[in-house]
Amino acid sequence: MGIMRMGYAHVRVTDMTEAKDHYANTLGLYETHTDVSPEGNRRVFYKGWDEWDHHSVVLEEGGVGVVKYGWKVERESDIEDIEKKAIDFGLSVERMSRGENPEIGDGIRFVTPSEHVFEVYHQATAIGTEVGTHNPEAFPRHLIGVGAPALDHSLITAEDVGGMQAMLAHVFDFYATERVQTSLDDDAHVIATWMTSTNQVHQMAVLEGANAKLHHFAFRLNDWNEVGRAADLMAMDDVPIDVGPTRHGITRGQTVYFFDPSGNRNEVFSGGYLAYPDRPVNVWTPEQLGKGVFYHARELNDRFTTVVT
Amino acid sequence: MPVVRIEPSGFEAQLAPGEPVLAGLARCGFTVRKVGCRRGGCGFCKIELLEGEVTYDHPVADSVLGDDERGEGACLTCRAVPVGDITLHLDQGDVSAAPTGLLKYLNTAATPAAATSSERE
Repeated sequence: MGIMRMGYAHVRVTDMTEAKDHYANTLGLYETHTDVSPEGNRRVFYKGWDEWDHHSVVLEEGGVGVVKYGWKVERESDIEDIEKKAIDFGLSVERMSRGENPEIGDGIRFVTPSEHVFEVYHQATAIGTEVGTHNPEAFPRHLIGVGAPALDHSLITAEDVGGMQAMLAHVFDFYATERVQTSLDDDAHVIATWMTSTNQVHQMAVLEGANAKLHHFAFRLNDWNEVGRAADLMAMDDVPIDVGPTRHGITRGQTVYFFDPSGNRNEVFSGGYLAYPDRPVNVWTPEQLGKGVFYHARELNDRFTTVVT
Repeated sequence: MPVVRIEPSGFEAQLAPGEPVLAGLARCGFTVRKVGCRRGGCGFCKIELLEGEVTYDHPVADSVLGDDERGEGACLTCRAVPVGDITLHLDQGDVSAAPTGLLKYLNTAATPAAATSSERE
């Protein structure tokens, strides 16, 4: 099936001590590894309690924004298949070796038309979820803070959203679940797109903006109550909330947007419908974009659409 | 107790020692519309420092505030801490009028003694 999920988001933080407090104590991720990058930057690796692979979030000290994303494929042979499609699309692809990313196997790396770095891999060291697989409990008893179970998706910005949509479709076999475009005409300009390869409502979304930038990366929660409780914990921990709790018209998901201590935008996200490749794409046009993004307030603000790291 | 003066409106706010500019203005009742991530990552709140000096008590990425910008008087208000009194340029449309409603109780500029009772920000 090719890409199964976004396996990891690797981001930069200006202050590792504050970042660790946020990701470990507010969001409740589990630290699995710490090292120094070949460039000499401190790195800390995390996983959520319901994730089994070694890590899903990597923090690297120095700067802000996204370093790269890792995409996990179902079969080893998928890597070669994706490599061929990437070359066919006109991208330059390089091989990456086991250990270039700690506890991640061989794979490929390429820079997208939006100037983001994507890595594709099949093997990751298995740690196991915090409840195991043999007669597992419903959740770990002593979660910290939000207790986010897993990384969910990311939104990046790109100068050419249509081009990124074409790349994700051709190279990753992603399909769009929702789209924002200037009109319903066939030749309308694509302003944003939400894409996936599975039943997950989106794994990656792309919004018109500067290349190489991060809008947010999101963690999965189960329902509205957990989203509300997460917002309460953000108030307790003085986490700046950007928007929410509210619902998205697009994806129907429930959300809080907030910022980490370096200013990278995070989200907790729950709900959203089951996606299928044959489900007709939801199309939003600019006059209802406010409602599409924030279903209750129905008003876009410039901060949400222009603040990126 | 540094005073932040905003031009061209002439508003003044009395900040607590060590308090960042943006948090201090909010605590004093001013609604500033140039607010981004509030953690120094996006540069959305960057405005012009006309007079005075600020320091940064957190590391700020060069991609957000370069050395040249610091030298030219840019002020990343969410992370900037005044060293003494400062004057900033903030377009009239980017800041509310002098605090009204309940917010007027927050403006401690005229009553320095009250500032210490609201340093929680």
